[in-house]
Amino acid sequence: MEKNLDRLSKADAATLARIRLATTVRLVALAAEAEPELRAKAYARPFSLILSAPGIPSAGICSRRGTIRSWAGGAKAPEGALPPSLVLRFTSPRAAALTLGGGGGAPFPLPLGPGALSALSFFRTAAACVPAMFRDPATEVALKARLLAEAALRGLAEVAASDDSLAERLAHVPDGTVALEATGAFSIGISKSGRRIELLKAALVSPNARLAFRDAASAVAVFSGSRPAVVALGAGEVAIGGLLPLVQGLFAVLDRLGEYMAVGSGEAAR
Amino acid sequence: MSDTGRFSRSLELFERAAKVIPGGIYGSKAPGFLVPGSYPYYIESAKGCRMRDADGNEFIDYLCGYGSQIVGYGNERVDGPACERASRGDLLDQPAPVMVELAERIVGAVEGSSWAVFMKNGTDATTLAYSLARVRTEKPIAIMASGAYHGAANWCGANPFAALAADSAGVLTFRYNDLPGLERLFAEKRGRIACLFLTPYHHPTFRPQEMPDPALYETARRLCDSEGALLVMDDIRGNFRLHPRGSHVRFGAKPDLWCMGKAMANGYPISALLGGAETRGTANSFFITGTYWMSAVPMVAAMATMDEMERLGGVPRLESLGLLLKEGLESEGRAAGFGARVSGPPAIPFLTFDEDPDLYLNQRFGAAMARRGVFMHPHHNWFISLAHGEADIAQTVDRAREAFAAMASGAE
Repeated sequence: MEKNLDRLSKADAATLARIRLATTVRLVALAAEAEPELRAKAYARPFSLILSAPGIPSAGICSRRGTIRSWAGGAKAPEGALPPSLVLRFTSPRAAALTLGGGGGAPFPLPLGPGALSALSFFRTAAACVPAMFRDPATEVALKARLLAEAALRGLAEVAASDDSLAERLAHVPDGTVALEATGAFSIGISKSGRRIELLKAALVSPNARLAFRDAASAVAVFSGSRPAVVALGAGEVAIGGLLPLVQGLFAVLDRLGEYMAVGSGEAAR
Repeated sequence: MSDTGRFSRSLELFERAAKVIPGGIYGSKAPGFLVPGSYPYYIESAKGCRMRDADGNEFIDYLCGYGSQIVGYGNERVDGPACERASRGDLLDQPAPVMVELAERIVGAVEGSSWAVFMKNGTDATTLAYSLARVRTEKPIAIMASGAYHGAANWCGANPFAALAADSAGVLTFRYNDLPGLERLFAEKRGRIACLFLTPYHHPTFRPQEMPDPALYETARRLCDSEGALLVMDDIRGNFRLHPRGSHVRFGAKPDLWCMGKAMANGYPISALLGGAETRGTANSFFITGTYWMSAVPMVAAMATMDEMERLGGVPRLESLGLLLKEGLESEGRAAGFGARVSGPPAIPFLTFDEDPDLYLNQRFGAAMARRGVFMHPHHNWFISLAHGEADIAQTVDRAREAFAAMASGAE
């Protein structure tokens, strides 16, 4: 795959935009749960914020009654969410991918109702806060692991649904559920059915497969790409069990996600 | 539960390997295909049916070099002539005379064949078979059973995650033993099918093995004849473990081409493509070559292996040992409350648990056996060799009893 956003095909740029929309809203929601200052901003006034670009499913985040939720990939807003207070509209998927990847530019804010300003203020603060949390050595490894895992799985769902080059490969991967866990950091269930990968709300009791990281640091190493999954597996930093073709199939999708995540813009990518 | 302390040297080597070798260990030997931490990654030496890993742990081996060992590691009746041949030169400018002797011998052994070419790996043989079928029929499509393994080349479709998955676009699959499905596929692609690849029986990874429907080969032959397609018997895994005249004889199949390998030379690198009289002309027209394809040592080893198989009792002996193992494992499994079932032919068994299609129990059993000094792959079928004996099987079944008991109490 091209490493430069400018040279990415239209379809790949759209997939990258979907990934960045989905991971952004998820990371922002998680960061708000973790950071008291952000949480206060989010709860100050209920809002519903949509990120959109032409031709791709929108993503959203809402705050109401002390909870912050996010959604993406064309999913409906969660029950109880307010009607959109603010839409941040990108002119194209490529523009969305550029801006959300830190390459500059800005979406058009379209205020639609009460809470628009709160939403905008919250989003700007949170979007700046997430990279700072990753950089800050004081951020708990467990939190970093959870943020990375959730972002990776959201990205996984988007790339599986959107990247046509994966369609045939995913057809070979058995359907089923996978429990991913790192002690003290996260326990997440996902289901795979055809090309659809979903994060499950409830913990899995009898998953078809399990992927368990030895600790949060191992999860950070794998999800951040600093330690290849196959090597971590051999070294005992991650254990897999159950229906291995399901997990191994998802590794292949994660590899593809990694290619998207490596796309840069401008001179830095050349 | 992991045994990392027991495999510290393996882990140390793996860490070094990961810096210079993709994935540390690639392909079917990758740790992720086993139960990482519960099996050794590196094997130092082997003799008979036992092997010693890089940490000095000993195992009774039921993978047999993925089937390549049939008369035992370090068999002097094979290694002796092979080493002697090596001392006189292995890869020469022209083939050594032994090539003719081996071709005559194998063609004489494999019923229905009349010519043979030699190469190194099973993939070489299946790839040449695919090319030959396409050239002979002037048609593009190969049909194979889904989940069947016919090699590691892109065209085989063995790895659906390969970067060049489009290379397998000419391969269509049917569900093994689904005869109406196979009929439909032949009808849908009429006039475009070059060949049908079948293994003697179905041995997919991660699943129980499946013996052929009694009507499979008759149907396959009829469909191939009506289409003008070739029936290719991929006998690489079964190779001389099912029948001394080729696995097809056991099942009454009448192939046009045979792919042989693995146990053919007890681990020395050689495979073969064999054909009947009908395909000789096409084979004659091919430019068939590979730098090492005519090396003499594996050919000498293949001749010696055939002698040694006969001397040690051949297929009947393998079957009898395999049945002992099957009965022992199933009975001990049942006694501990598990639905343990051994599938496949006795000489190539594989254990699964009826109650666990996800294979968690396979992984626990494999790890528990490895801890007790028995190497049984959790996801890939096993192999019996003529170096195994009743005492080895009995020891294995004893270890299995302990393993099942530990699993039942959750204390493995």
